[in-house]
Amino acid sequence: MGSSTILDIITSVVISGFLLLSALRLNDQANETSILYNTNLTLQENMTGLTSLLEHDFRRLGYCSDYTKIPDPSQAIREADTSSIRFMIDLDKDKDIDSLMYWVGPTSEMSSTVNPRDRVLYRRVCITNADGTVTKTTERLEMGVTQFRMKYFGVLGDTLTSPVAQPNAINTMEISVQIESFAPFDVRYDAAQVDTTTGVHADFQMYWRQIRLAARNLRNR
Amino acid sequence: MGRASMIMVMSYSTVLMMMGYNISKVSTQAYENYIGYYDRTNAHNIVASAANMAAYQLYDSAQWRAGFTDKPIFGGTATATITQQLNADSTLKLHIVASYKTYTDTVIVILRPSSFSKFSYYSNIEGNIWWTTGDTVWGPIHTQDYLGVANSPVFMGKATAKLGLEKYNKSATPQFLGGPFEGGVDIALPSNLNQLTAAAAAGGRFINRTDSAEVRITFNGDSAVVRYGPNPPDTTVYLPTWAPNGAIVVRGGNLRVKGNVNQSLTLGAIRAPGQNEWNNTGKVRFDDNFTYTVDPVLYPDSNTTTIVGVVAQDSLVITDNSANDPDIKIHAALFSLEKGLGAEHYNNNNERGKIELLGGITQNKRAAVGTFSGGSITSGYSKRYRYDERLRSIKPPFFPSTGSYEVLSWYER
Repeated sequence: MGSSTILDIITSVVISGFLLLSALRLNDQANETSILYNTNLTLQENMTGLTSLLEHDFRRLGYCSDYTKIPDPSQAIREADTSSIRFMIDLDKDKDIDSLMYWVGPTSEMSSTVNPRDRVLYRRVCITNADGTVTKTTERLEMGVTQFRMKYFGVLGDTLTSPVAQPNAINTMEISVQIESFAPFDVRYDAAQVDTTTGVHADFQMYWRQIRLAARNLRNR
Repeated sequence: MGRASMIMVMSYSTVLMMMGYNISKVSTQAYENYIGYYDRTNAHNIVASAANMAAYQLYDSAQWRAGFTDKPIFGGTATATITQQLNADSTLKLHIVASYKTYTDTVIVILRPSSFSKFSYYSNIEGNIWWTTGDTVWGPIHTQDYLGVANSPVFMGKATAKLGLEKYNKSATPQFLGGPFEGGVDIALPSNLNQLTAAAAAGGRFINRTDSAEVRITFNGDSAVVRYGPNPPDTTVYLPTWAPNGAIVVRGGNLRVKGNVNQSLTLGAIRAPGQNEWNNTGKVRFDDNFTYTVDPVLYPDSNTTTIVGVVAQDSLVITDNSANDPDIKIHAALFSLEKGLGAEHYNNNNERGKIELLGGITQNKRAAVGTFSGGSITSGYSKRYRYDERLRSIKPPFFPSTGSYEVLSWYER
């Protein structure tokens, strides 16, 4: 056990230490990347699921498989406000007119999540049964919605003041939805992490906007 | 030492490769999720575009039934089929299926021949008429002329005009609450009433008068008393067998009607070949109230589908008689091909109350029903016209068609 052996051991310990530190750092980064990617995937799935639902519902606004039941489709929107809308629709294609309402609740309803901005998006379906009775179902869409904003335009493209006093004046709509993850990674909800040009944090926020949505049935006949 | 290091490095590399694989897999899933949404949206855009193209073809040519198969659009394909549906409205079903990569989407559009009966007000010639504050029109309105507006009239239904909107002055602010006002919309009156006449001859009741005489029909629910000429005999008929398809046309004379009806009918009067307006034929005269047996406004729960049309090649006339003084009620979609709805002797200084119309009016030109001074009626009738909302979805049998199709429902999957 000469001095060269001791030097070998010291050198190998140092190199091992470096390797270990690198490995730990790599592990951290891999973890972070994995969490970011998973969060992103969850956000994307939530967003595509939510937008598919919204598109499904809004495309059928004013539709009834028995057209005689909805003689004036321009009256299909019953209430229209900044963050809520109620309209007539034949959701189950049973020739009876149903009603559908979307609205968002307050942030306090989602106090169990770390995110202080997320809300519940409600979807209330009132199905008219064959015997004339109405079955009401209210779904809580807890998908990290932080913004659900409706904007309404008149026939000349002018913005209508919300709540819209005469919903039959609505010609087109704009729907904006923003969702965020329920919890941040490494406490990155602060404004410093937000892209100043887009206002969106790519890792934890996702934005969808349908501009000038014109439900086809509104202007039938 | 060397072997242990190798094992350690290889193990570590394996762990890192697995982590990398998982990260890559998640990343790919996110990407695929986005691509899937993009492809679905594309498939939907293709089917919506194809549906618009097919609807336009039908609008352009009402006889178009060919459809198209695997038409390439935006990198996908679309197939459109058109089927005639066997129902009272003679609706067409436009079925469009589009494919984009592995995704398919569907749009189903139901269309029907557009009828003049849907209008609450239609005119070919408006003349010097201005819709102004206090005028509220319910239901669709169209004119082949300018739609003249002063101050702030309200149009609750769709408003269209061939020649556009004419404002009395710059301060005119018409309210279009049934959708955007559309100018340049051409919905011309038909050149004749052959379709109704043919239907009356085929499965209804066609009364051919060679003597220019009048035919008087007094309706009473599902039956009627018919008098050919001014004098008896009278014949009582059961409407479902006398005019099974609901079309009743008098040619070469005038038709005089009154009473109440519980059968869907279209009554018509046309001139015989060779006759012109100087022959004084092709008119329908209202000798008394002409109403539904069950008033759909007073009894909305009855859900009555009885709907009546009254069609005249010449004019629609409210007879000057004691039965129509004061007031007359008319429940029908009215149509005058060459003239309009007027009152006989409207300016004889005799005030006769009001015309209570439940239905709609389609006329070549507005005709006079009374005279006014300072906002008060001085002779003839004042007007109480109410749109029958049922005319949006049902129409009297064989009522004149606009010659094009209209969309009844548009279903997107």
